[in-house]
Amino acid sequence: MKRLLSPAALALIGACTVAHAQYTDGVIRIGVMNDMSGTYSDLSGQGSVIAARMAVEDFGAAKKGMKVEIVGADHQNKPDVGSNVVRTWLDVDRVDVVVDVPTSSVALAVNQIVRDKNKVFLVSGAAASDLTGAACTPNTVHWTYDTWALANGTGQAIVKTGGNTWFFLTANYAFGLALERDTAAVVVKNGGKVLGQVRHPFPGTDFSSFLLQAQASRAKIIGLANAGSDTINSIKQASEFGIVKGGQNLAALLAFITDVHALGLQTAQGLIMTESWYWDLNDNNRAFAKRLAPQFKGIHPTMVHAGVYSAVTHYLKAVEALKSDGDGKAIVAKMKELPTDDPLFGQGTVRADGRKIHPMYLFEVKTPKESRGAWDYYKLRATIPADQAWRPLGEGGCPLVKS
Amino acid sequence: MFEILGISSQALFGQLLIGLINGSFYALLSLGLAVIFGMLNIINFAHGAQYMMGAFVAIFLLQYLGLGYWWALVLAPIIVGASGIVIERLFLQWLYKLDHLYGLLLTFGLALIIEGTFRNQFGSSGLPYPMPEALRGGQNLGFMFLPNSRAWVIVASLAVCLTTWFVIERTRLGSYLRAATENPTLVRAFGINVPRMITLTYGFGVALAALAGVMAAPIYGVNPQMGANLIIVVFAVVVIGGMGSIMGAIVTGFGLGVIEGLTKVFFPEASNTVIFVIMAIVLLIRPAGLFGRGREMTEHTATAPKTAINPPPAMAPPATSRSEAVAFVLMTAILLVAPLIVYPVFLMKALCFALFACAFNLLLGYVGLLSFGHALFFGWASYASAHAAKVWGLPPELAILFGAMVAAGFGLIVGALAIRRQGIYFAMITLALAQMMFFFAVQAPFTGGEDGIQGVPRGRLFGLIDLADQTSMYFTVLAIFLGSFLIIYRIINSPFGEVLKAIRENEPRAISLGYRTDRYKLLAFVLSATFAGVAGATKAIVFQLASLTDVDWPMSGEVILMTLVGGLGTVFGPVVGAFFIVTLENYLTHIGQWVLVVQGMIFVACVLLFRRGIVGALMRLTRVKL
Amino acid sequence: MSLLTVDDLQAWYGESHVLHGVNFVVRPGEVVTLLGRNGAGKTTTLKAIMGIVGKRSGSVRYEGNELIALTSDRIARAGIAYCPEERGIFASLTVEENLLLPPQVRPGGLAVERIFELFPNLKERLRSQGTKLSGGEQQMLAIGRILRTGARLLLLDEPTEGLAPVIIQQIGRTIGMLKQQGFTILLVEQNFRFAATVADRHYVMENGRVIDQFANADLDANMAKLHDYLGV
Repeated sequence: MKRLLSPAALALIGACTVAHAQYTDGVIRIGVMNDMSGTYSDLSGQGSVIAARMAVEDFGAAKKGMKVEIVGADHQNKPDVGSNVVRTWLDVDRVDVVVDVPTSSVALAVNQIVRDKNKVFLVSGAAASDLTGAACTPNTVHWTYDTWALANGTGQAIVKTGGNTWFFLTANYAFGLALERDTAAVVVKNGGKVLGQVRHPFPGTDFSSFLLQAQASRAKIIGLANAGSDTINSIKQASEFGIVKGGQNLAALLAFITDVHALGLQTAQGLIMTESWYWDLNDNNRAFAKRLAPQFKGIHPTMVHAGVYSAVTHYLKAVEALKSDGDGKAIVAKMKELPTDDPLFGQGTVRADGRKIHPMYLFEVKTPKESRGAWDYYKLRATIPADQAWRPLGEGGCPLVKS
Repeated sequence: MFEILGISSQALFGQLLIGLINGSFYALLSLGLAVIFGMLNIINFAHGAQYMMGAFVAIFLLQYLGLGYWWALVLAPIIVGASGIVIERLFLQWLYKLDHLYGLLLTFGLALIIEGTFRNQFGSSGLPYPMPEALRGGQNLGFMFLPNSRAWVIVASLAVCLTTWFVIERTRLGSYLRAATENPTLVRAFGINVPRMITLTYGFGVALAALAGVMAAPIYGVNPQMGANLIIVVFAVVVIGGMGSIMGAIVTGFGLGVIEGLTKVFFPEASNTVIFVIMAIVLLIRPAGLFGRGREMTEHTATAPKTAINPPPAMAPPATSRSEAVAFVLMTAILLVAPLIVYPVFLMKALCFALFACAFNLLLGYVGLLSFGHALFFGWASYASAHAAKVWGLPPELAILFGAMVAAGFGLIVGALAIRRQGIYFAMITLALAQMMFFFAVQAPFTGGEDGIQGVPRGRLFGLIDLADQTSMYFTVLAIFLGSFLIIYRIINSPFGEVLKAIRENEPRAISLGYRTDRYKLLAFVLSATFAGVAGATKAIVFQLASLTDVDWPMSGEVILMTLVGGLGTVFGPVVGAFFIVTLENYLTHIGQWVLVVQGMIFVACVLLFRRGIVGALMRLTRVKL
Repeated sequence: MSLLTVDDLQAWYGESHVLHGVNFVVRPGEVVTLLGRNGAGKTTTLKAIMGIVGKRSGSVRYEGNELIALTSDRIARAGIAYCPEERGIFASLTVEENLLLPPQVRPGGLAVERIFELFPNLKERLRSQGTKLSGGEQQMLAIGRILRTGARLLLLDEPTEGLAPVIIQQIGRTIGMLKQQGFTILLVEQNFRFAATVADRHYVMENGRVIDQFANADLDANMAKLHDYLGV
């Protein structure tokens, strides 16, 4: 019944309780919203909720007298479902910060609502670089990764290592087209050539026709400007049609370690992709994985989970410094003021446009022989330093940036 | 080696071959649908779900019994076919005496139940199925490398399709089937157990779907949604080929697969809509389908008169509509004070859907036409109004008006195309056209595709009232709802409305009385579309978002559900139904995919047991007109 | 002792009450006709016996078994065959398939060769589509196919309707031959002159009831009455 009662009714009930001094109704409420049952449920899903919980524990919130509650919700990758959940969360359930939200269409919708209600939005799962560009707000911080960094990382690094002719297999909707556009620009800028593209309807199931066209182009690199099950199916079917055996390489422009896991190394070997975090890079990461995986059906944490952990940690730091969680703008301003430091991403900063700054990594998927077991999938091919990985501050068109 | 339109002949042959692969699935599935439709006169909406079950059964056989692909090819169709037999005995057999559309509604509900259950258990991302040893690798044909798995699909489907065709058209058993399709009563009077034949035929059609699912498993993977997207395309294939024609279904399936394959080469963005476009064209010039025999639905209504799509109220309504007036006042009073107790945003959502359902009820309850594509009007009005408010900066009242006009325009076009056909054809056309516009919405730039149109400003009503204030917004929505409700009521109870009801009862008689029924139906359709548009346009302003969900076919299904639950052909039924369903879904959001299952169960329950709906039942109990 | 006893048979099409209590008997080996105007309920009576009207009540006893509550396939398997007014030739079947469609319900049906002797035209047209036959040939086919089944009681609904006199005579001869073979036939006819050439007894129906009956021998004597009933 709680969801349906109006704020007026709740206020009446609330007025009877004694509120703690600083925090809105005494509790810092963190809402983790993502895809709990669909294509992205492994790379975010319940794992993000677990990561948030771990962050709160490690921060020692209880000892510091901060009461923190975590709620989770499934947006089913639909902007209207996500909007409804967040609206109810912020209006009725007194949630203070919304975290994760993969699927850019949902993130963009949530972005507006959070700004209107002056709460905080920490994006880990979504990719749209617009969140720190034209759509930037003083209430949002974009963690983990974005389309620009992916395009830049993958595109540049591949061209520099000899992959200089490209053919794009693009999902024909805003996200896929943006990914294609950004990567094509990077390829051309670095001296490569785009031989052509084919735009497949979104979502697709059968890519054989499009893969044949990619094959016929004889481009050295076939760029997959799609995501989720489209990417997985493209890679699987490419393997069936002997594309990689025929000498071309696939570049997944948006892929996660969970996708490689779903494909298996036999099919995914040789795939090149950019991520901002990998569980086997250092001891801190490995420890994190060791804690999270058993709670999440053995699935190893992705960069999205790590981003949630890092973002929640920094948020709590800012809230502690301000001794309040009511004013979203103030909290985000604090987050930009304080440097970040956590076991997973190390030291970094949050820029004026809401962009979290950290290095990016170019990985190549190991062959079955090279792997020591499940989840040992990546070889590090290159590290892109933090100051080169992201779109330059002035170029995004964010109104918060004074030029 | 030669070139056609910039594609080498080699590449072209490769694409043709791939088209045949897709065509194989289309052919198998449309064959099953055609067989079922021929015998049962039911469009088996659950066909996609049964295809999916076939694939899942293959996985279970492997996981739990260690039985591989080749076993699954035989066992899965038997198992799923058996489940089909159970469905026919439990549910479908009660529908043969009713209007054909109930079959569509029931199987739609079953599809929701099946898909929802599997989605719950397995999530939406799906499971992989290993490629069997014998099918790994491929042949280098020179112009392409053809994986063995794909070659197998083509060969196996051809074999199954042709064998089925042969059995039906050339054997004794087939002669029984064909005769029973034509005149089941007479065949039964010869001593043949026709009901059992019907049951087995349904089981066979379902088994074909499951077989296709098994064949799809190693190639496309297995996920609970694999059938839902495919089924609408297959419907279009069956309509193009001509319902009830076996060879038609096979040839059309393969043919359209090839055409779609070619479209992927020359115009890939359109490849998922080309089949619908072809369907619209075929319906215009050759409505019975390319291979159809031109038999109308009426041939099957042999002896017993069928109950019309909405059973008229049990007793003659009293002369005055005093009860309706009282109910209206009561409803208004409740809605005026409701925001004090209930979350206003929730109420506004319910009101928008209530209006949508009232608009839909105008068409189904009073004219007797089941549109399965009303989301088209709702969603596109939503886009139009969002665009007008956000990009053109129109004030909300003009934005909503614009949205309604866009819906009316679409209503005119779709209505003009669809009204040409009756019953199930009408439902299929509306479904296909709506799906076509859905795909268009995904790709068109101004709809924002997956993002939708976000950040729609609420604006100031008449330049005066700031709708960002929740209360003002609520009362505006309430006013729109009440106003539209009254207009619809007036339409229903006007001379025009009486003609519509006459058309619903007995169209030939209405024609013989001199009424141009097509014009009346078209006008009713446009009115229904317009008010659906008002609902959608208002919703966009309230939620400041217009998204793909509003144009997708589940939305069309939802409004049918609301109207059905509330009570077809009653004035207040749609309102009650909308509030009921919206509340239900609100409570069920935390159980995720079970919502689908619950919706499906309500569909099934309503069609079988509760055709009057809530208000209809209330009317019967209290003998009062509502 | 009768083969078929119909007692207070009532039938409805939906809401309309069409048969108001039909009573008659048919004895083994007889040819009995139901005469009457259009709409008298003759065809409905045959359908009610066969179990293919919507709702029925009363009693229909065949060879001592009560048929009133049985489904039509069970009634057929009891040994009754039905030849409908519109002939019911299936367009999607060939002549041969039409002929072989009704299954054997009793031993002792006519052999296919015998049927070809009766109706030579059919043998020549075996591969044709059923409805490509002329009216007369279709009627032959409709009668022929039920002879194979072994049913001993045949219900024929207006077998001569719309046919040329030559064909009508052929049908008359066929019915005579069938009678010799021991078939029992219940015939619905508007053409009472034809009925007179084949039948043993006649019942007259009006408004869903049997209102009169004659032996065939008494037909001439009752001609005036008959004209009256039939409105000829």
